[in-house]
Parts: sequence; C-alpha cells; structure tokens
Amino acid sequence: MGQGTEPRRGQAYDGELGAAVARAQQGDEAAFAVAYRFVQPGLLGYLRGLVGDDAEDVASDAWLEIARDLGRFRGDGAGFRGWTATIARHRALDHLRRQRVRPRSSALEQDVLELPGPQSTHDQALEALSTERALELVRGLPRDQAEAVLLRVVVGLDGPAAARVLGKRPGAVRTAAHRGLKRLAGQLGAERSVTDEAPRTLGEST
Amino acid sequence: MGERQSDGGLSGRGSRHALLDSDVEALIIASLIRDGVDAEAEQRAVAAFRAARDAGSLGAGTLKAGTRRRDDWRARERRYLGRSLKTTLSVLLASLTLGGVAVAAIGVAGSPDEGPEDTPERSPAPSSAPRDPAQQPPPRGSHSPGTGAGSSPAHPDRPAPAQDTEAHCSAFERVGGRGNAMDATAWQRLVAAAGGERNVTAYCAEREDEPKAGSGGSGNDGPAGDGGAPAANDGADNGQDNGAGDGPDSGAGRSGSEGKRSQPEGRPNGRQR
Repeated sequence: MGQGTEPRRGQAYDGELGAAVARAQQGDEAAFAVAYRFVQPGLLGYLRGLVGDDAEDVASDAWLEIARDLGRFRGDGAGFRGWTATIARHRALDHLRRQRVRPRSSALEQDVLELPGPQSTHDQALEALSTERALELVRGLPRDQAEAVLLRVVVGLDGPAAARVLGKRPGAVRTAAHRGLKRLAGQLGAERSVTDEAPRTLGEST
Repeated sequence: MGERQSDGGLSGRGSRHALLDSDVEALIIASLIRDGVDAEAEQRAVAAFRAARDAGSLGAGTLKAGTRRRDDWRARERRYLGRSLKTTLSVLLASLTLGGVAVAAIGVAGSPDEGPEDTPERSPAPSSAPRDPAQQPPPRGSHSPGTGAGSSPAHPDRPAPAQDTEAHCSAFERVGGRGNAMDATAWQRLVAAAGGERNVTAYCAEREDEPKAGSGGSGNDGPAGDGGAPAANDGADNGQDNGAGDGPDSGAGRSGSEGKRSQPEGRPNGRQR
C-alpha cells in the first residue's frame, strides 16, 4: 500500500459528488439521489465487509442519519465519502454490538482450500473466486486490517481520511492496510497455487 | 486483473503465486462492490432526505450553526492547523527560552568591565524582559568581573545582541526560515539586526560561519559581529572567576537558569556553581 498517491476508487467523481452534495444541502432532492448513487456502492461494500449480509439494512439506517444530518456536513466530495463512512461505521458497530457478532469469522483456513476446478487458469481461478469467498477472506482479517483495507480500497478514502474514520493515526492505518493486503495476497496466492496444475502460459520459470 | 503475470519474472513457487496489491484490490472491489444501487433503498434514502429537509434540518439556521468537529471534513490543511499551531507555539517558546538563556548568560559571562565607555551607541540592542530587573545599578567600578552580571545601568543591554542574534538565528532556522513563525519580537530584532527581512538568511549564515565566540557578548565596538574576541575574553575571565568553567560557552544554556536567577539579583558570580 506504499503507493498511497495513486487514484483510488471514488476519487474520480469527487468533484461531481461534491457539487451534488452542495446542491442537496440547498434542498435539491435530485442532487441527493445523485450523491446517494455515487456513494452507496462503496459504502455498501464496506458494510458487507463489516456486517456481511446485514449490510443493506445497516446502510439504510446509515442513510437515514446521513439525510438527517446533511445540513451539518462541511466538506467536499472526498470529505462526504469520509463523513458517510464514519456514520455507516457507527451504525455497523451498533449492529454488531446488538448482535454480539464478531465481524471476523473463523474457520477460514479450510475454506481457502476449497478450490475451483483443476483445469482453471490463473485468471479463471481468480474469477472463480466467488464473492462470498473474497468476502470471507476480508472478514477473516483482523478487524483493523479489514477495515483499513475496505476503507482505502472499497470506499476509496485516502490514508488520513481512513485514519479519521477509524479514529487512529494515519501510520497505523497504513500499516494495517498493508498487512491486510499482504495477508489476502498470501491467501489468494495459496488458492491459486493449487490450481496451478494447469499449464502456465506466462511467468513459467521451470 | 488482466495483467496477471506481472510477477512472472520471478521464479520459485512462492513468488510465482504472490499477488500484487493491485490484484488484491481489484479482486476486493470486484467482490464487494456491485455497481448500481437498489432502487427501493435509494427511494427510502431520498424519502428520509425529503422528510429531513421539510422538517427544516437543512435550513439556513442549521447551516450556520456551529459545526461539530465530526461533521467538518473540509480540506485537510484545516485539520492540521491545530498541529501547526502547536508547532509554532513550541518553537516560539523555545526561542523565548533560548533567548532568555542567552541574554541571562551573557549577563553573567559577558559584560561588565569591558569598556562601556566606547559603546554607547550599542544600547538599542535587544532588551528582553528578563534583563530589565537587572538594571538596579551595582556600583560601577568596584566590580569584580562577577559583580556585574551585566548591570551597568547605562548599557544594560549591550552584551546581548550577538547571542541574542544567535538564538534568533537558530530559532529562525528551526522554523525553516519562515520568519512569521517566530516570536514576533525576536523576528523584528533579527530583521533589524540584519538590515531587512531579505538579508536575514544571509545574515544568520554569516554569523554562523564566524567562530563561535562563546558568550559572544557583543563587545564594545561597533557591529555585533565584531565583539566576538573581547567578549570571549570576558567569558574566560568570568569562567575563572566562577571557578566553574562556565566560561566562553556559558550562553548555550548550561548556566541559563543560574544566569537568570543571579542576574536580577546582582548576585556575584562567585556564588554560582
């Protein structure tokens, strides 16, 4: 995650998002819908990583609060993503507390060994990795790593913004994201290695 | 996810199976983000917005109301303001302390019996607050080098400039050459001494190049820089008198507190450690 300056998901439309938010703050309903469509996919992805299947419900709760407090928000498009992520996170943590459910599941090591068909190429292996599997892998990370990865990769926050959402120092979040990605890479690579029985076309060294 | 083989140049199973961060990120995005939103959920959110708006929560009053910190996501620089303010303050404090130490130490080490007679024109030199109580005149002429503590009434400030300037220069350096981050008084003095804001950097550099003349009481004659040698002598004398080797470098802060303490009271140097 050393390359913190690369454009991340979401940053491309921050200008538009900021403008929509500003209009929404003036009472423009259509602009609020625009902002919703910009933000919701990433927010939902983040919540999926936190609360799994309950993400939609938690997101709905979060949007009620977002709508209610929109008048208080100050900032641009990027700021809006951070602000909404903070609200969503609080709702998610409330949810988890209520459920007494830990955001991480165990028993992932076995899951990792479930494989796509032996004839898969690498790309196919990756593509065959189901959404559920990726979700499980992410949720299998220690939560600080999972959240750091999700906020940076899925919500598209920069380091300082992600740190603010999490209430941690940017350095700690950067480290957590880095470790999380490395760990995921290792797990995914392990999955891939089992499917490597198929002939390689590139990068073959033996 | 197409350019899968970016790791292909490496050999060995371990690296061959390693995924790049970008691969992992792409996979996470592909897995967790569905493009498009659920229309029904969007309608609920918009309805909530409408309700909030109609209840006046977007009104001008709300917008003007005090912003809670957690709602303020304006540009990052604003949030760092606090930190930079803190930095500025601590630099300022440091420069004040250093300045005070320098001044006080000069008072101890520097001044008295080097002829005040020939430097009346030096008196516009900085007179920072800690020095002022020192102006109770001890009987001039009867002094050992120690008595003075820099308190000849006619030239209470005379010895200060050189070391003051040093302190200011180092403060100036610490704040990265941004004068306005310095203590305003110190900055003004530095500017005055250098003969203009633009000359400050050069001035400080010039001074740094000079041999450290120890307590550098600005000596008797003329521009602050010239006083190095005599002042050093002073310092040496003093050091001997003190018997504690506080000599030439006493300005650097070793004896700062003693200097500060002793000076206003006009305590003879001999009593200091």
